[in-house]
Amino acid sequence: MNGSSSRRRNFAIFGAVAAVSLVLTLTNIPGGGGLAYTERASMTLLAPFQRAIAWGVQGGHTIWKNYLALVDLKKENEYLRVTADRLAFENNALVERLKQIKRVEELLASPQGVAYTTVVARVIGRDTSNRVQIAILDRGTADGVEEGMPVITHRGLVGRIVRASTTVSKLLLITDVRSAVDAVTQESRDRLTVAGVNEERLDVRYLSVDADAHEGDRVVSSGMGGIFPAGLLIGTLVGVADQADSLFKEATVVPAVDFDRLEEALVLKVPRRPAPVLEDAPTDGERMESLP
Amino acid sequence: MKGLLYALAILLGFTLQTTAYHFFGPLGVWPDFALILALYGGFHWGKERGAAFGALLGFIQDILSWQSYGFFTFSKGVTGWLVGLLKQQFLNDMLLTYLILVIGATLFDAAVYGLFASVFLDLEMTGPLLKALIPQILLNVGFSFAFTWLLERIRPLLDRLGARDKYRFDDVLR
Repeated sequence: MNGSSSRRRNFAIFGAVAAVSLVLTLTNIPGGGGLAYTERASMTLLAPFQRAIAWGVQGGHTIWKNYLALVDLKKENEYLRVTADRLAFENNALVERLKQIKRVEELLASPQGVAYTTVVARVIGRDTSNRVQIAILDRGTADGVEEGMPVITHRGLVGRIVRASTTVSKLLLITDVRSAVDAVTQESRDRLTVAGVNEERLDVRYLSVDADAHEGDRVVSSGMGGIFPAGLLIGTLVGVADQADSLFKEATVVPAVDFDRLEEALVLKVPRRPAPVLEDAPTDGERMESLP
Repeated sequence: MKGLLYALAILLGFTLQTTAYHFFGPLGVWPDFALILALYGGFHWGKERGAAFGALLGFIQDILSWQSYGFFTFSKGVTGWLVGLLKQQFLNDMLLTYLILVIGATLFDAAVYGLFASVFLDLEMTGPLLKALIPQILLNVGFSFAFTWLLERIRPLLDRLGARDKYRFDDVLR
């Protein structure tokens, strides 16, 4: 009798946990609207502690770099690195502009990263698990940051804002499996989709077998889809190969941004444009951009 | 006082959870402090309180994460419950028990996440989860024992504050 009662009790505990979880899951897919306020409140509550740790770590890192290790050389190196980053970014923007002029497409906007108003944000945290590639930024709606805004660094595209509270926001990196960006190769202008796989590299999808893309080609956002402006550098194409019995080539992209060392980023204040949305698609946002 | 102590432990746990990348970034994996705390709950308080504590931790992790409501509530709640149940019914050797439980709980957490992501979000997570599994287990085991060791060091203070548990930490390290 005791054994039976104990089994029932165990089943009841398991059932209660499973039921609560299932209700949470089913009531919040897709979009997470139901608990969005709770999410924003918890983000705001945790932010001061995250800021403190980020400040401590980055402060310690700065002290080490500036005072303990070859001060002048480090400074010069830092200056050169920043200059190289800036020049690479400007070069990419100019190449993009040249391409556009050559194709006489004056109606298209100029390289977007330069033209938009930006908000500089510091990365103060990451997701609670490493399964969602999210970074927490120390800027929120009070600073003009809104959900859907693209985020870049001087090196290239980083991701987009998926949740914004008053003081902090969540940035979904392009390396996340939920991300897919419509892109083109900078030289040959071949269309492709760059998808995250929760790793440092990015997967290339829908690159036609007829494409003239080569290893080392730079890949930039196409501007299709309504989230990312055109011309933002994503990375470099590697491992381009034909696949047997397939309409598409196989390739990967090495991102221009080093996501492990992401400390600051620029949020582009881009006005949202209507995206080609399928109402019953499994996830919203960038996944829509993978539509041909 | 006891409640405040645990609330502080949860706050500290999640602050560390979201900032651990500063130290573990290059690995791409960091310790799951919510799992470590859920294990603690199940191991020291039994299946009922373990399940409730684990589910609470999981719920907080869910709302701090994105697009994953319910996954961690289930995973951590069941971990707390299962650890309490197993310890009560089958396992005796404390040190080995704890090691097995940490490994088992990490595997279970990954399996539940993979299943939920596949069923509810239509995401294929098998590759990333498998790649991260071994370092995740090693980090969780290391930090579980470090956490246990630390708590044993501050045990006199915790006892004075009324946080005495059914099982002592000394038992775990025996």
